Amino acid sequence: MRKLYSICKLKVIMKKKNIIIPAFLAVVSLQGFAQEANDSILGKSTSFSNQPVHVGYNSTQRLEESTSSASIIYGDQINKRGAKNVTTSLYGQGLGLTALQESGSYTKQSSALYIRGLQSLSGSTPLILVDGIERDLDFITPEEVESVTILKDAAAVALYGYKGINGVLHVVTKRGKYNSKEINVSYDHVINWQARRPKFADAYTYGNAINEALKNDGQAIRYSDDELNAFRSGKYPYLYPNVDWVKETFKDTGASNIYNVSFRGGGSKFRYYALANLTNNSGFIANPNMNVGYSTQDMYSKANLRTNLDIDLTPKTKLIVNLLGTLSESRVPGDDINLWNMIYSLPSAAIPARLEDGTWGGSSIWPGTSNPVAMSQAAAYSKGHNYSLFADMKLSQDLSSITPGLRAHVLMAYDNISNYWENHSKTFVYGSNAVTGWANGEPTTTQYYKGGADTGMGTESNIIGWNRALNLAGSVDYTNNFGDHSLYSQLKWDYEYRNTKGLNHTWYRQNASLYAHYGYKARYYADVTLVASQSNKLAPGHKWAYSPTISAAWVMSKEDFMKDISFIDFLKVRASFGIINVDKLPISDDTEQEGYWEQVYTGGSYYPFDTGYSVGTSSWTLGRLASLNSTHEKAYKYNFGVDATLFNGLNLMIDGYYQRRSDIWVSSSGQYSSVLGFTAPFENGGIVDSWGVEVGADYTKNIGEVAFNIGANFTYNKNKVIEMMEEPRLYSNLKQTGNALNQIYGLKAIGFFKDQADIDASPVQQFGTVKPGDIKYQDINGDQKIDENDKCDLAYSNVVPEIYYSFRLGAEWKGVGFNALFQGTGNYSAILNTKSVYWPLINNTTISQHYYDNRWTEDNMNAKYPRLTSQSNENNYQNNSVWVEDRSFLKLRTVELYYKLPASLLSKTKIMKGAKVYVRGTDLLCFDHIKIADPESYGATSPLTRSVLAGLAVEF
Amino acid sequence: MATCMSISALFSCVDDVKFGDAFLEKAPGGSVTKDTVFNNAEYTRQFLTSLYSYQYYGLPYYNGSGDFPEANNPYVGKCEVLSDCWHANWSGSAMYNRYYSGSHTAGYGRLADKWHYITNRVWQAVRAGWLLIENVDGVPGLSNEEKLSIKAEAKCIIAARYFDTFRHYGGIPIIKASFSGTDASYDMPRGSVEETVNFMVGLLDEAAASLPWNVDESEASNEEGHWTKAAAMALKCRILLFAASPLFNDTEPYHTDGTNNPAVWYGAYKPELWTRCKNACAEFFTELNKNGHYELVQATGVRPQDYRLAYRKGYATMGSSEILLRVSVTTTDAFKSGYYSWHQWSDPLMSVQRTSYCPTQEYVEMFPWADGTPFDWDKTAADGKLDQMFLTGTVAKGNITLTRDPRLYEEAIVNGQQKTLDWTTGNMSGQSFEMWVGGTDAQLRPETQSGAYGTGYAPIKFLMGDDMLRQYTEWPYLRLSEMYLTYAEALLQTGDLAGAIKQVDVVRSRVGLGGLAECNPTKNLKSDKSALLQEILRERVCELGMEDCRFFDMIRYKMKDRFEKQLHGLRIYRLDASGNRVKTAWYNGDRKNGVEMPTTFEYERFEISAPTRYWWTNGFDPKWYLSPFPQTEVNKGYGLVQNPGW
Repeated sequence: MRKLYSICKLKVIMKKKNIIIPAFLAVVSLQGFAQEANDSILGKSTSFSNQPVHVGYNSTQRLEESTSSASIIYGDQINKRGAKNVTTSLYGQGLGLTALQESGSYTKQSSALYIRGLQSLSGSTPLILVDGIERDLDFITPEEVESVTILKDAAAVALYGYKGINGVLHVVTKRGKYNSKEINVSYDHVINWQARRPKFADAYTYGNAINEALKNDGQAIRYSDDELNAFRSGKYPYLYPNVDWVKETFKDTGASNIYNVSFRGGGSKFRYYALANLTNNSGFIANPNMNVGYSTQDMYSKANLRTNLDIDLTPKTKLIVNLLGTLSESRVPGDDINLWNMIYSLPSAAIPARLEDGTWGGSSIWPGTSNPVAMSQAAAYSKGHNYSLFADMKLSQDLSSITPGLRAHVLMAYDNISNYWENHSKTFVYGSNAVTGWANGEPTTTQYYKGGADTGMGTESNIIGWNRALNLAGSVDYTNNFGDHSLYSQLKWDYEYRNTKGLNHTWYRQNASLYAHYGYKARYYADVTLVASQSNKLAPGHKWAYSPTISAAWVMSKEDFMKDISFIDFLKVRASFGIINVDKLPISDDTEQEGYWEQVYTGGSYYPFDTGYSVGTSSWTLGRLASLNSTHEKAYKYNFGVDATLFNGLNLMIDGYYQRRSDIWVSSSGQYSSVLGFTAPFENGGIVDSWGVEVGADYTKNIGEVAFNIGANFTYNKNKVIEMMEEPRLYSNLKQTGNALNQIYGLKAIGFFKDQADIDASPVQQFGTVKPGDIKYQDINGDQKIDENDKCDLAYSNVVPEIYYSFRLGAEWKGVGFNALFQGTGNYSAILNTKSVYWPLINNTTISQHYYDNRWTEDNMNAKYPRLTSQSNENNYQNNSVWVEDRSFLKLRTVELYYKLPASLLSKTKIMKGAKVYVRGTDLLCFDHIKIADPESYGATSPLTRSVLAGLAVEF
Repeated sequence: MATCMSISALFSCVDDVKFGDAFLEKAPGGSVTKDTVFNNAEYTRQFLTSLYSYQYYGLPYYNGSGDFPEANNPYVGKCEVLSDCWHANWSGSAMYNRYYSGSHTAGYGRLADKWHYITNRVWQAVRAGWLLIENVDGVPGLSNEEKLSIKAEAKCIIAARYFDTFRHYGGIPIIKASFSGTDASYDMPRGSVEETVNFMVGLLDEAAASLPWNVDESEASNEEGHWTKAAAMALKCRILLFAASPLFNDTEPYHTDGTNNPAVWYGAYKPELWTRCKNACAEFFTELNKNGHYELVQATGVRPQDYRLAYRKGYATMGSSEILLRVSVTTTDAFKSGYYSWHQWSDPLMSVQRTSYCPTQEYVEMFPWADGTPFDWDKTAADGKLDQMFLTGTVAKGNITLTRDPRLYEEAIVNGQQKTLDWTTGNMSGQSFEMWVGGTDAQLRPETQSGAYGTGYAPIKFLMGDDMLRQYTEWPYLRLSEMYLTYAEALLQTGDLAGAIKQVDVVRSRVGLGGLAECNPTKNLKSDKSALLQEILRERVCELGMEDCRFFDMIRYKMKDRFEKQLHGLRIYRLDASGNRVKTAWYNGDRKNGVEMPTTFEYERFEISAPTRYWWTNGFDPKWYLSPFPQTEVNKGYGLVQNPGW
């Protein structure tokens, strides 16, 4: 308790000063340290066949007896990135999981997670569970995670009723241990930098570029030679500025600090695990302390407090209580402004950051609110707060007094998350001087422009979101062995209430499930799961669905005929089939459409009949036609897998799967004539097939005193839209049915127009007037004109790669160790449409040096990119093959060097049981095709960071 | 402690924790179904109101999406700028980027066609209209008369929506009932021109039989805007005029590919179509004479500005006696509001000047002198009277006199025109618009051909600057003066030239112009049919500028040559004492130095070049007379035959 108090106090200190490794060390050194033993390079403490598989049954199965497809990741494997939460720790981890990095902003950091790729027109997001309850992973720190199980096939997801169709990611948190006591303390200091910041042209180059663009457009140039010279010489920095906005706004590095203290242990009837985590991040703003009383630095701070208790109330009655409370807060300059968006817009020649008299720079074209230096210092700040509480309690009663092997359980969980927003931002005066006259090569007269106004800081604050959930469950299970036969069976009922901010966002679901797991001679296993699910999202009469699954496994290595094969230590084959349902609503305009089963009349617009427009009458408008005879989306999932341990150390997990999704909600508007005048109903008309393979391998070997470990995961996921009630298409190249989900469609470029003669000799391109240097397209349908009808599929999806793989290697010798994890993707495409970088100069944006160097000119006809233009150009700026790039990459996700202090040394301290010091690198290498931006996040947003981390973990 | 907190949090939840089937109920929402609406008289009336809100409003005023009618979107623009009387220079509009550039195709998406076949709420209105007609009989609490009237109004709106589309596409599928989505067949082939016309006319005839001639005068201020017998009969005349015109009614189709397509051609020249139109007009005027109520707004004095005021009041005043049917937008226009952006984006007095519909020199020259004699540029130039071609006098002297057809000053802002016209007295006040190159208002825009002053003239109809401050802008869907001109045209086409002139003169005399024949003694109007037709079409665009008249006149008469004609603007140069051009403003310029308002100028008619129109250089393909059906709709294969050439 004292310790926690110290941490709290520390947090207070930290907020006051931007500190403090020494202070922290001083605090922790008051007590002793120790080191957890399972931190070996194996990353796990049990053998492969004995790994626990957390599918969600009351009893945890070992891998050997499991009939489902599930892969396991251990907490210490993922806790190497100095990450904010679990989702941003999962890159390259686990077999069958695709984790993609999204945003470079620490506050908004999160990952896109997919299990077995894209699966349906209705979305492919997996279900995320924490200790069996659907929860937001953003709040879980890597430190508190015991393991993550990825549930993939029908047998593994069946229990989750309407929610498990896209796979399940099940995070299990750490628990206490009987009759022991340990205290773990760790501290990580992380230094972050943005390796691929965009490089924009300097003022002189920009001036030339915009002049060239305007000339190309047949317009008057913007800058005279005198003005261009002024940009080049830098002689008039306030009239003809040349600002490197990135450098002026941001510094090179930011830092994070992560503090963990955990207590783990228990007595003979009681186990506990408690964690206090404090994570702080400070961003890249170069000059955040320009105001008295507050900083404008991008900051994020979060504190987690977790308590997991296992209490044996009586020898037969057990109580589990898990509690997690989190508080986080973030601060950004201005009213949640996006400084990087400004960086991607503002030319270096636009305005000075500040005028000579200190006024912030801003003009009528580029107002001060687009000046990132000003906005990072003078717009004050806004703050977001996030409060969450996750609480669950489970009571288990052994009913062996009724019949041996019978147990009953009751579970209750209540979660609440809320977001609060405070706006302290303010506005400021800005201005600039425009030169109105020149004489003898010198600017002589100027006109002053003034904009904006100084205001006080804002006082607005409001709740921007909440999320509440109540889960209840009751179950009875029965375990017994009868000679060669073993049986585990459970009957479960669960109930869920989920509510988010806003009206009509309350969902209720319940499941009743029967699961039976039968084993014969501990080598033949067969499972049956029958689940009846109910949801209030669905149409009356169709709210219920039944999901049956069957699965079986055969542990071949236990057969007599295998006994003599020495290199096989463990070999199991398994297969499963099941029908899984989902209660997805039809989606239109990115919004779920409730009540699809009836046509509703909604209040229409007001229409005034009177001359004064005062007596307007309200009206009724017709909603979408009802979907008649509706059903809901379902999946037919087939899986075949092999789990094996060979050569006393090579673990293999291989899966092949096929899935058909049918009855997916689609709009039927392509099927009806528009003159019928109704909004066409949704129909259960979509069908998508997906299939793929997953291969995981892991090998451990000790040679002398050196322990080696290598491993690799490979997944390949394909899909194909079989039916989506697509509108009829005139040409086959326009058809999307039969292709993969989220494929990129567009025009095929075949170069750039060389000159007017080339344009005249080519088929007419109907996207406005084309000029030399514009993109020339292929006439795909052969009708001698280029238009919308010449679009075709261009590339793979830009959402999820088809191939996702990783490999790792590690070695340890006498406490000194090394490990590295590489992760890559394949069959993955990008659309390069980032403003200024790839689509420059439009709407007064700037231009990247990269584009300038690769643009089409009459002297550089074999360029990479089309001619410059100052306007949005319908011919060039649309999806086409010029802008499509291979997005596949290979990244060095983590690399670690560590030293574990020898036990002999530690024993002398009497209190320390283990200590480890380590240096880690995150995303240090990236091999890819985009190069000037990160392939995972190349838009006009905060660039992804790379980091090095130094840390210390001690066990008492 | 934390456990207690979590438990108390659980029970502090006020929603019932429901079990069993009860928990599956959806929370009650704010929506109702068909049974609710048609079981309640008030809801049924409101349903009729929704039909009214689906009507056509002719001014692009809002960049909306979803159910919003696209023709009202400034990014589409008003098709009048495809005619020879207005020119648009804002590249954001479809008129500019698809029509002027000649790049329009059948593969169009949103905001691309001048009348998107699907997104103008036409078909929603038709379906809702039939739903109402089919269900109104069972509604409790409505009298029989009210039921009849509701049905009649619904029929009028269906017919109007059909005509709004017919004039862009020709014959279209004829929908005679509401579809439920479970019907056996959706074959919806295009109706022929004849079938489509007869369908619309049939609906209007049925409606006219059960509607009152005008809205009861005691309720007029609250219920105006409803369809009446007068409006139904007037729309019938307009439909028959369009149908009888050479576009569909000629010895050959407008496009060579249209020969076998009855949806775009009657198959021969049928003079009886003109007779039918004439008879409909005669019936209308017989009823008008019998019932009265509607009349042209007449001037209270004889000054040009008095006539101008009468004309303005006629088309713009809410409740004007010459409007047969007006359409409102369903939002209030607090003037220049972001929601109603017609003013904000088009008014020359606003800084945006985006969707400005600049009048062309060709248009301005169509307006005669104030006495009705025709304007002739060459003659005026030879007489050295160009400086008097708009007005004489100055603000300072208070002696400004309008010299041309008073309607000119309502259709275009010309050099020297004062900024305000008093709604009661007709007196003009305010500063003069300075339209010369460098002038206070026009600035350099006539030279750069940008913004509202791009042609040297600026738009004023339906805008009126500060005169419309905080007033509502109505759309005169049907106006009495159009009826006189329609009658005149039908009389002309059936051989009664003298009768035609008589009808035209009704409209002319309202603005103080002399009789058509008297003013054009050299043109033999009483015997030269084609000369008189030209005069009638000219009179139409002078009277009905921006009222969806000119573009459709040009396609009705297949005026290929007018579409191909290079259009002009007027550059006015201010001259200094020694006769040199100076690009100096007066009001915001040298007025401070005591210089008097300039009255001598040099005039240059210039070829419009920013932008040019594809048709000027590449010729006008007759396919442009009608819009292409969206390819995606044709692909659905229900019998929608694409218009020729697309």
